[in-house]
Amino acid sequence: MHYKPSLGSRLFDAANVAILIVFSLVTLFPFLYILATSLAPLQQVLRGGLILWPEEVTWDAYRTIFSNTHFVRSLMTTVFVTVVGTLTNLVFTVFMAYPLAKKRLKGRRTMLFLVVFTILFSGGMIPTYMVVKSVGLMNTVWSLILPGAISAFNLIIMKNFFQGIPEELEEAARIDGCKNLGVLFRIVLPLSMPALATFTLFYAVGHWNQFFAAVMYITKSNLWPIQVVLRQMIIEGSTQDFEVAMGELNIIPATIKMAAIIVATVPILLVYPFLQKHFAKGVLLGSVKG
Amino acid sequence: MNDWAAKAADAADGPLIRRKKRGGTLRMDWDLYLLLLPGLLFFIIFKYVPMWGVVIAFQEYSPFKGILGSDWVGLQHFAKLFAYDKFWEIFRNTLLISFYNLIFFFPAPIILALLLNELRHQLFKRSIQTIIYLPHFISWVVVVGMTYLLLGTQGGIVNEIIAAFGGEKVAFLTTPEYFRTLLVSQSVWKEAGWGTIIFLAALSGVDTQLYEAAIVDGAGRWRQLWHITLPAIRSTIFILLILRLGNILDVGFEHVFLMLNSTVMSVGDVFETYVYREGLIGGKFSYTTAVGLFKSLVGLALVLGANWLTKKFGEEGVF
Amino acid sequence: MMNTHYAKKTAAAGLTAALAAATIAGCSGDAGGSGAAGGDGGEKRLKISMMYPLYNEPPQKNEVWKYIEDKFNIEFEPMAVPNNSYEDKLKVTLASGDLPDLILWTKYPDPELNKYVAQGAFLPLDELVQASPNIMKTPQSIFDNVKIEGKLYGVPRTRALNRSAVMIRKDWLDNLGLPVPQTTDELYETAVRFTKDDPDKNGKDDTFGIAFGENISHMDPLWMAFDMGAGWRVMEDGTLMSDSITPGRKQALEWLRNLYQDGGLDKDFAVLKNSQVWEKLEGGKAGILIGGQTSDYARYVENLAKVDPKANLIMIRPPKGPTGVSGFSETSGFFGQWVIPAKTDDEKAQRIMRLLDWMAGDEAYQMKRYGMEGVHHTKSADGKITVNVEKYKADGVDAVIQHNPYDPYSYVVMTAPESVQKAQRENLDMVRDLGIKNPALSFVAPSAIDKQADLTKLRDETFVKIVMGKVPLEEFDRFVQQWLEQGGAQITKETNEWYQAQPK
Repeated sequence: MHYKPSLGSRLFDAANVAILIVFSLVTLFPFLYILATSLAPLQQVLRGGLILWPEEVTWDAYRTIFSNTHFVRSLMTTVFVTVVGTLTNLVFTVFMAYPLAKKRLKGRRTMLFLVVFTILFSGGMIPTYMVVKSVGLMNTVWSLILPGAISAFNLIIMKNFFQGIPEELEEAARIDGCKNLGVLFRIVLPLSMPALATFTLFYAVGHWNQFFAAVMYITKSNLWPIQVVLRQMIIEGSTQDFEVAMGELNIIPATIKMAAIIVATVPILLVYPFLQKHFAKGVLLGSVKG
Repeated sequence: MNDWAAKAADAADGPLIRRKKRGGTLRMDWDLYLLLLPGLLFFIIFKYVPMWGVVIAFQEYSPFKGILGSDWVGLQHFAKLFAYDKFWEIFRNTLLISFYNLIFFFPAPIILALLLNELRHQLFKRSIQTIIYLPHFISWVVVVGMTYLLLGTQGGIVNEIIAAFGGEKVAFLTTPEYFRTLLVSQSVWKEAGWGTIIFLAALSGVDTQLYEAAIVDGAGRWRQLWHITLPAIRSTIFILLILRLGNILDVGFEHVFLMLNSTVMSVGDVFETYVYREGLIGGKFSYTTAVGLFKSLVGLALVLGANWLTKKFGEEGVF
Repeated sequence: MMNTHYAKKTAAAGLTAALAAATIAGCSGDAGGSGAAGGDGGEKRLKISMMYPLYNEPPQKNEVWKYIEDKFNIEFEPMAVPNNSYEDKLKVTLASGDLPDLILWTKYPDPELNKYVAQGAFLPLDELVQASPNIMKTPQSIFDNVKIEGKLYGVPRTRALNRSAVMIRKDWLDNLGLPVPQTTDELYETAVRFTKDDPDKNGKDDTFGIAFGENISHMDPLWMAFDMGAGWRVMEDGTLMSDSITPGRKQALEWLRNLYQDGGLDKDFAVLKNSQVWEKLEGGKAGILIGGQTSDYARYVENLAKVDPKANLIMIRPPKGPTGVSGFSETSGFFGQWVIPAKTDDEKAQRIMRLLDWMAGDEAYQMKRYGMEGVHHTKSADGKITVNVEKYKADGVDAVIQHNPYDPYSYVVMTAPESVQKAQRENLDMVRDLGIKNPALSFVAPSAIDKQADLTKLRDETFVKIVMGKVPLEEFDRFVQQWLEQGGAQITKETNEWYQAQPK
């Protein structure tokens, strides 16, 4: 790009950068607080107040978490569910979004309405539980994958992205002899990388954070995913439903609570930067020309 | 109009252009229907089969007796809901919070995405993107806890600063007037960054050549924004808006519940917290389901209306 | 209703027959010798599942688990559910019709449970319990609390009836030359001085008197000191009045309101959740916690020591109010009760009860706390026990055995230093007789199901505003009127009717 930016343009850029930096700091700082607390010695944390820097880096909290055998096992479960689950999600969602993106499909409007309907109405916890049970998914990791195979919300948006792909490209491919499936895999998907990256992220995060489904459908604690185990680790009895003190009291320092948060979120955080390269501009460029 | 603007409009209208094609042939598309099959099965099994649960709203449901064994009470629960003397207060609270969210929270990711889009330094852009979506991963419990550390009167940082400058401490958390503002601000902080992802994905589909052509034509930043950038995310915005309207009476239970305390009930009590309170004393499955059904019906009405309206304006609706 | 009646009759008949058969079978079983602990199981290997909320490490298939399976000849399946989703899990389980053999019912009092009992969902357990020696050691008052329509449907998981503690910083008192407060007036003075006179002598104005939280939590002994009544108060004319509207409540509110104004209370209390309240004490910001728990004392002491090595937190007698009353509201004496689905056959029901009874005995109690000797702990010659904490926790031993004998000292924390344990034991002794009973503890008025939520909301909003000074004290009288009109009068009526009908 060769052009001389106007003064207004330059001012705007400067202001833009400033605003974004401020917003980033505001969003970053609580994370720093959590990270700092997880690495701080207990004394500093107990004194209270906002901690932005640990007086002395202490890894005790992390050691406690990683030496917990349930935790390590749950980590493996979660990784499996996230990988397999996200793949399942993508396959199901793409296979349904692509046909629905074709206006010529008969019954399209009805199907779309039925999909949207499920965003608004739901049978509720008990009927869903009973269906999952009768399909035989209880106490399996598949109960965390199949009942959520498609997010209607994601489906609608993905369909919209598919509709944005120019007709001409699909026409060209058809002339070349491609059937619908060929068009899907050879044209549509490669051009939809930003959308696919987005939904990979959404679904992956969703699986990583699964808690309620696991509690409902999995009673064998060795199949529990990471969020269940972590929350159990940092639980504190309240004075109302008091239960502990049978020979062992759970003294959960705030450091461990914070370390649990870091451990629960950092792995999935790292997924986004890897996907970012798909958000580069001008993805369509080459194909239009060609 | 200039060439590039027309091209941009075309690209944005992609979803609409297909309207021109007529006559679907079932023959050609049997494989499309095959592709649909797994998804359809999913929806039928896991979404529509459990839908019978909705009838619980018309019964006096007991889990032990089951659906078939429980008594039918017709519209009794709905009557009870509308007769509740605080119904309008809760309705109003819920709607107001939702409207605040629509006006302030909904546009935030869009604006952020547009700002990010204007950045030219890729590394800087990517870093900012990664940072601003961090709060999405922090639970509401932690967020509200931090809010207290900042805004509490006894030792809260903001108030300590105010006091140091000789001012009066402000009871942010126990004054009804601040409640909605606090709530929406927290939501923006927590979710705006995450919300940009969808828009950034849409923006990355824009042909960079259009920008170049526009610049050659002498179009300034605003013209480029108006004719190229915005049209690219137009349909996404509309879809998200319509879907958001469908959940208009949902405002995020955990968030509101944690921020709620006795002093702000008059502005903060919403349907979800009301239902939670009611459920604490004696099951009330049916009543809870009825309230949920009411919320869904309102959402449905809005979705239908909004969808129809968007189509009237020449846009592609949700269905 | 016919069905439940019939079911009860056949159950009773079947039970007598089964008991008879069991006694005979037991004899021959012993003679035959069935291995490990000898004849506690029956001939047939049964499967027993137990569902309960989990508060710590989930149970693993360890030696204790295997011991139970051998001893009772069962396949043991503990179903531990993360506690904050327990209620939901209970709902779906009930709805699915596939009930575990033993379920811990946590909510109490629970009109839902009463409904299910009326619908015939659970077994009446009177006779089974009579035949269980360890369970029979439970104090009668606790059994009475659990009974529904005069019959026993649940085995209560016993806890001490009184376990609260009033805690205060002795070092602060010493620094300011103050005696231990014994009356509400003295407590008032002390709280104000804790805020104003820099009791931790660090030159900073960063302390205050009493820690408490949203909806005026952690204030139980104070309410009692003003003779407010515990849930319901037996008035001078013999009727019951809700503690929301008694004169004692108004006096207590006045005390709190004045103290808030004078600075002795935490100004942020209205937004604080439980853990935040405790943090104030542990962090050395607050000097007094009125409504604390004896077991928590161990944690507070440990955490305080890290912040301020000179800290000396002690537990004292609850303060006396203007009429000389003091104490704590007595608890139900249990946390959760075990129910057994009505469809369970006799042989299984008995095996379940035998398991439960064993868990209510000393052998199981020891195993719960220390695990299996040689695996989870070692015993030295003089009887001292050293626990391998890692293995104990990793195996989730504590969660395998979910029932326990009645032990008023259960709130003594075994891993705390000796001085802390001693203080806890002494406090538990002291408070044992200071309980003030709720005369209608187990009763939920029919109209309460619809009205209670709103009444509680109204009460909390009003009281918090009174204490914070947002409304005048006279607002209380208006509140009483509203409370009565919005359903309180009806609830009072129903409760009194129930109360009068109880055998005295």
